[in-house]
Amino acid sequence: MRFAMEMWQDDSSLAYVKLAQHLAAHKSYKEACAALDIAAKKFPLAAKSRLRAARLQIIHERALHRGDINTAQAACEILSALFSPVQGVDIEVKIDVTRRHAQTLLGAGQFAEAASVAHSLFNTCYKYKMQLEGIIALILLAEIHKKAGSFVSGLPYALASLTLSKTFNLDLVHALAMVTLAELWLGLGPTHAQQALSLLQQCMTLVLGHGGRELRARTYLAVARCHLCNPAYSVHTNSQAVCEPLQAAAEEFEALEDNEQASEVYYLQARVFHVLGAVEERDHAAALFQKFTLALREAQTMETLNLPQ
Amino acid sequence: MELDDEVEVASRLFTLHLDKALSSPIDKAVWNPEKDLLAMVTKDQQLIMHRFNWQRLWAVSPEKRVTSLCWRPDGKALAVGHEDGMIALHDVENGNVFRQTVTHQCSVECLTWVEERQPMLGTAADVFFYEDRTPRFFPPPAKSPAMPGAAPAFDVSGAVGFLEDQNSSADAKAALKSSHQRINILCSGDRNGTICLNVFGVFLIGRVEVRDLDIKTSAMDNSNIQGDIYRLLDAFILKVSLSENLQQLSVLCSGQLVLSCSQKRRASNEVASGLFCMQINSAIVGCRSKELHQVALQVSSIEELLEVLQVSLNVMQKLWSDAMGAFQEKFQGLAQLLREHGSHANAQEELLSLLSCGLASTGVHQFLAVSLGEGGLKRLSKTMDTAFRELHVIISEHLQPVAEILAFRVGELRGISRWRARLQSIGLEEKLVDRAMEDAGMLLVQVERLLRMISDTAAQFRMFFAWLTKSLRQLNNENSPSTDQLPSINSEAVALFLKTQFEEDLLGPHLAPVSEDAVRIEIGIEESERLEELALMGGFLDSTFLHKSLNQQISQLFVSCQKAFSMPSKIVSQQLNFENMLFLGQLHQPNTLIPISLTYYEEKGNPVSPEAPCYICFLTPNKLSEVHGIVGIIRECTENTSVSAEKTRSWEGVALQIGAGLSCIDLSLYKEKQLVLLGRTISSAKAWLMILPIDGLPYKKITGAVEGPDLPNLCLSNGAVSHISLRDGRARILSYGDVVPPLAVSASRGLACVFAGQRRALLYDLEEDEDGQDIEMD
Repeated sequence: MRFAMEMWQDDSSLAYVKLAQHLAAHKSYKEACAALDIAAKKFPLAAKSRLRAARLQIIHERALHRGDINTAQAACEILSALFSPVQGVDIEVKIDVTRRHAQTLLGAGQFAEAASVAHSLFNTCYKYKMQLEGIIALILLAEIHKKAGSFVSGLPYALASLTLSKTFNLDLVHALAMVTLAELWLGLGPTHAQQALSLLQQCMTLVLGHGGRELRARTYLAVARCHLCNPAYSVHTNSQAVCEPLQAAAEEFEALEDNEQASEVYYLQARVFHVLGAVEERDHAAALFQKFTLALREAQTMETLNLPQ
Repeated sequence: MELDDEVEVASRLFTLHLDKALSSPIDKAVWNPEKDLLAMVTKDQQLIMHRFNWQRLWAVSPEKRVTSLCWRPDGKALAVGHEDGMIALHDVENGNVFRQTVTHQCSVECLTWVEERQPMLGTAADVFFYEDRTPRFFPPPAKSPAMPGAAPAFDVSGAVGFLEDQNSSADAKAALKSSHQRINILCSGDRNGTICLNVFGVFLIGRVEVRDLDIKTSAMDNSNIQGDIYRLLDAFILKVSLSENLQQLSVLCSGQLVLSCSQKRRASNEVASGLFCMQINSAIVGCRSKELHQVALQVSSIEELLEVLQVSLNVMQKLWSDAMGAFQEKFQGLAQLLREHGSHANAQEELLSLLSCGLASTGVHQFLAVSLGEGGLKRLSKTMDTAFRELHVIISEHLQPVAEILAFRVGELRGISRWRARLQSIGLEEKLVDRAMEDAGMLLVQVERLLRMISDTAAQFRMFFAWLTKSLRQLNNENSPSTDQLPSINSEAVALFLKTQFEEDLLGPHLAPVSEDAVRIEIGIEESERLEELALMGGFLDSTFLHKSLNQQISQLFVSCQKAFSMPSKIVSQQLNFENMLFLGQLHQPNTLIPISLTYYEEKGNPVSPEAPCYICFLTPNKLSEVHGIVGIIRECTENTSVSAEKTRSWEGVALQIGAGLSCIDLSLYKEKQLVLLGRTISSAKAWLMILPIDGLPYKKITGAVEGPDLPNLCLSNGAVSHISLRDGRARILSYGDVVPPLAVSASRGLACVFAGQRRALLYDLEEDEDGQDIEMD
């Protein structure tokens, strides 16, 4: 009886953690933390292990988005210390931590190190036949190449993840790969803007229906950039095509507290309003651009936050 | 004299395939576009389907009068319009109705089912593509369970009929699905001037009230004062059709045109009355066809699933009320006995005392041993058990999978609805779909709760019956070894059962019909607290939904789906605007059906305009005795004006004057710009059928005003007249003189069916002449 009770506790605490993660991805970090608080009250036993890990994961994501690398790094390290050091145990969690490590390095701009960690991550996934995680590692690699500005070398990774996710019917990962691929094409220059746009339009319904805030925001931003890159496009004739996705992207990035991307969106928005001659809106967007740029700089120089022990 | 020559020459044109007797004169006839099937409505209101060899496939007698007919473009379904405004879709295989929609208030006068042409590759529309992912994730949805008692199991004929029904409904669903590759739209027009557009014939996306359209004449008539707005009153839709790119709706209707500003004194302000040709801009449908396709696909499936849910619930309710009725009937006997024995305690108390002390009062003893007996107890226990098993099967095989698919589909729809740039213009509102999504999620929880409830209750009942059996045997002092085989009794559970379930039916409220609105299911405080907590964690906002019964939940879902799905037609309808109009002629009597044919022909030589121009043919009523029928033909022509790159549409028309001694009865446009005319000679009472090419006729541009002279007169004064004799086309003199409308021509199959002498049907192959001898002799 007691055992059954504990099992039930274990299962429902896991369910609560999943709910909190979903909230973090789709709503906001604040709501996710509130949900974790509720869960901690309910499951005092799990509070120290599983719930703490979940909280650290959320802190890590938030710090990464804000550009606060120090906190992200610290959270990542605590996370990796939480689990069994024995090889072959807690594989899923270790893979998650490795991925977070690579993301932190990427955020810090250490592309070569990030790429090597991502490579070893992919190798581990391959070794343990974890397809989903493997595909996500490939997408991460593509992203690292994209951030490093070497778009052509990122393409094979994006294409490989696209094919694999299609074979395994992983629709949302497929959409993620598609968005990444579109961003890579976009990086290759304005001649590829049309192709990128068509890729984005193909996965649009899936992204909007099932994707989290980050994916949605990235897609909106990419759509707007596709239009802006396209030499045939003119803001005057069809301003809606750019303004709407930019506004949506701004909202999503703000909710994510992603200072870097939000400032980019507001920069683009200010430029568009400038061309359109809407002075008031332009000034508003410019002020927001400034605000987020300052917030980013502040986050980058910030000391490590207090982390839950 | 001339005619006699014609007879000689033309008698061998077209192959006469059949000459069959008919049981009843034919009112309407339409050829299937894909197969050689002819759907007909007889004057005595039978809907019959004949094969090419005149073998009858099926016949049904609809309850209401049939007023129009048309085939779905794939030829697998027949749409039938009725006089009460209902449109029924019949399955081609067996004539069963698989869908009924009531979108009109009065008699549906015309139906046309248009399929979108495959868009050319590489165009902008190609980029947007939507996938229905449901078949990848779910098996095909379960069908509605059969109502108990609907088909007596011992009656062989009933059982066979029942099986047949099952098959046919599966066929119908398959038939419905197969049409969904490309978007097709059923256009219907009625007696009151309402036009409806239904995607796949089931999902209403647009409704036009002709009398509410603002008709602006400035584009048509330069001499008139700019900006006069007219209204067309008493519109009666005679023909309606969508162009193949779905961008334009062509309507032929009769009515009175009045100036809009003075509607009160409409009699004095009547500008013209008669037959009008009108075009309505439906660009919104054409531009968003892929989105509409996907939305319609999801919506029609969701509606089907909702139906299954409702039927399953009704079946469950019936099962449970039957079982509970049997249970209560037996135990009412106990109360009766107790009263007879002068006991003050009720049945529950007596049974509880039996449980606690093992002592039975005389009433209980008599009830158990005599009126129920071990056999009766066993039977009752079995009845309850069967009921629970069946309920369980219905939930796990029908209700639950269907609810899951439904939630998935609503979720897909929500994903689509969030793409505001593409979907907002067709009115799929994210908020409304969100609402439906929440209701679908609640339904899933409710179904799960009911499943758990049923298995709990089943276990309780089983325990109760086991205890009763054991008690009975003890009372009878039986100590047979079989007593030991009974499961051990958990007396706590039996006591709980006696206190709760025995007194009142706890499962009943869950299945209660919606009409009993007093139903409110009690849930524990702990449970409601958990719900509120879950709402904080992103759960359902309405944390009291567990108070609802399953039926209330389903009806709530139904309402929210209805709300979400009725938006597109509201939004799209607003964007269907009047484009242009042409006055065709006066009618002798208003609201009479005159022979009209409307087709879009692809312009092969003109790659610049991918649009197919519209051709309209109509037979003017022969009011003047000297002119025996004038056939008016108008066609659309697009011109590239030099000033702007925009294309302007205008009309060209020509009048065909049928030669002396001939009169035309019916006409139909045929493929490759040809016209099939059916007529009679006045003198010798012979009938003729002619195919006339209409491309090379002397068309003249029409710049008539709405109130101006009617089209035939305009053409006569313009010189756009062609005198037609039987030599001008390929003609044949028919073997019967007394032909009657309708003339049924199939352009895709090259067939024509002529009805003669009220009781004969003649089938001609228009592509094949009777034999090659004529040509060899020449």
